[in-house]
Amino acid sequence: MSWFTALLWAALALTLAFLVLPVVAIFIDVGPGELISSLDDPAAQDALWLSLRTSVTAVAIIVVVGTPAAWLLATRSFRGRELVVTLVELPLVLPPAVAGIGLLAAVGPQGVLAPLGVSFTLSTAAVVVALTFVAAPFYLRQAQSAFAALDRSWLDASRTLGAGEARTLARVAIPAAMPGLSAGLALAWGRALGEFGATLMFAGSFRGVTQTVPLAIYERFSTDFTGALGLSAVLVCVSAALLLAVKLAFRAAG
Amino acid sequence: MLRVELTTARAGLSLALEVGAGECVALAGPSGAGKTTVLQTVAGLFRPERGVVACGPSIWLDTASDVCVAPERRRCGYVFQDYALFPHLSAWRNVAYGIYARDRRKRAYAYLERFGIDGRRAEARPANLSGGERQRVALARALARDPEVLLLDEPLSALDARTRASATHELLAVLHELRIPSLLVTHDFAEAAQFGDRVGVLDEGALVQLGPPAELSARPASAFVADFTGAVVLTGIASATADGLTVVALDGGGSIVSTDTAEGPVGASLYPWEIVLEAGSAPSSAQNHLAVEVVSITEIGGRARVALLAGQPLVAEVTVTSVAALGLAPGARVTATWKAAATRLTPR
Repeated sequence: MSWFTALLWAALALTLAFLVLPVVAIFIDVGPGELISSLDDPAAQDALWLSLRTSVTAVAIIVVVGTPAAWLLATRSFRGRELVVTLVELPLVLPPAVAGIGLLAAVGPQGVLAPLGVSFTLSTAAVVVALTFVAAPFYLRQAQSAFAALDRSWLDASRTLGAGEARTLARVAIPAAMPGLSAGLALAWGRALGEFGATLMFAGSFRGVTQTVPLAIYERFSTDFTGALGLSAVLVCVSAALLLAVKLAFRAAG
Repeated sequence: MLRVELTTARAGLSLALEVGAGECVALAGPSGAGKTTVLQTVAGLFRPERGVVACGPSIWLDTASDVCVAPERRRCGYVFQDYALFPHLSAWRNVAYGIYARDRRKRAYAYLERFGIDGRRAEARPANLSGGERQRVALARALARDPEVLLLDEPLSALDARTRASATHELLAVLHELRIPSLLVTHDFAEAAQFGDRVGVLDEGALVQLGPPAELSARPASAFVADFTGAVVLTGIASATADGLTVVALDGGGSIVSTDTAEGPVGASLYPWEIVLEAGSAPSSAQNHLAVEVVSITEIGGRARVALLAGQPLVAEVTVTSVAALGLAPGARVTATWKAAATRLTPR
């Protein structure tokens, strides 16, 4: 092995150790017994259930609205398209605190849309809004590039075979782009499950209403570190299982 | 009958063309000549700045009156260059995609069977089909739509040489059976001549000549067509002689005669197999004698392509036996002879 190859392996080993160590440490600190017992806490159960409901709802909204939007961005060229693409990606680089403030200013009690009766704060719906806001760009970006990478002649062939654009999207583009779309879905879901800052600022942290698992962990870590560790371990397992399931399900279908 | 007129900035394309029912017109030309754009215009996948596409009584495109029928309403059977089979669907589902009647599965299977794809292969995805099978599925899919026009974009270019021969026979049989206009594009003149009842040669967006393939070979309208059909083209200045023949003073030296009449700058074209090579300056009945130097010799089967230089490059095709008899080798000096009647003159 040359010295350079050795250097590459060393870099990879260091990266891996750094990224995996915190995750492993959680499981070293929490025994299986504590992991199970942390689930007995009703507050933990509430948080887990709320996280699942809100993230599934947010991802559903993102997929239903985001897929046609991504299709349009991938297939049409129009004036200001680049600007639109940049605006859609903006939440990716926005600090969560800024996202929370922005959501308050838009759809909070004194927000821009408040006169129209659109106001969400301190409710489960507000959590969904926050998750959708931060997770949507992950799906849109992936879906747009997955659609753009499709062989143009498949879409043309579908049209000459009597299918309109809507049928072409449903029967050819979406199935053919499925690996990219499911990767986007997994990324968006992961981001939604882990969302913390924007939810805290915009929706607050009320048990059973807006307290998702990350918020519950934060609430616990100063008073009950072991409980926080247990809940963290559960979140790691749930996230990993969900993402794996999504990938496997779509791989089997595609 | 299919009528196409179009003018567009894409590839600088501007042409008009009619294809009769049951006829196949093959458009041939180098890449970038705009061949595919013609097919896309007919199918409605490309909208030219100005143009008309009429199929029988229906007008599919008329830019003057702002008529542009969507591609899904045009009934075109389109065989794409790389076949464009849907990768996520099995062969029969690809074919059934364009069938909107009842019994889609049964009909799709029947079409596939007609093209020699049996029930077991019909369940395979395109990735698991051979090149020849993919081509047949693509053809079955295009025809299952019950089209009013068949469009073929380089239908054989994705096939290896061995599959190509059988695919050619199948495609010819299909074209003979069809009662609809077919438009085929290819970069290969031999392929165009094989399939086209008429062949159109496209160069830089213009249809430079349209006619039966034999006519294009025998009477190329320009040096480009002559070159494209595989002829050797020599350039020079033509002038008439007293005995009714035309003498061409070749650029780079030497002169030849032709039975065609022409004046001024011309391209003189002839086919490589009409050139006979003789040692030294042996007399012969042919009227054209050109002292040439052998540049290279390439054997193809029993024939040999001999590249020659006589001020301008030319190519002769002779038998392998005569290569040996003449002792041909690079650097050898011989005489190239051919008949005046084999020399076509086209103005430049």
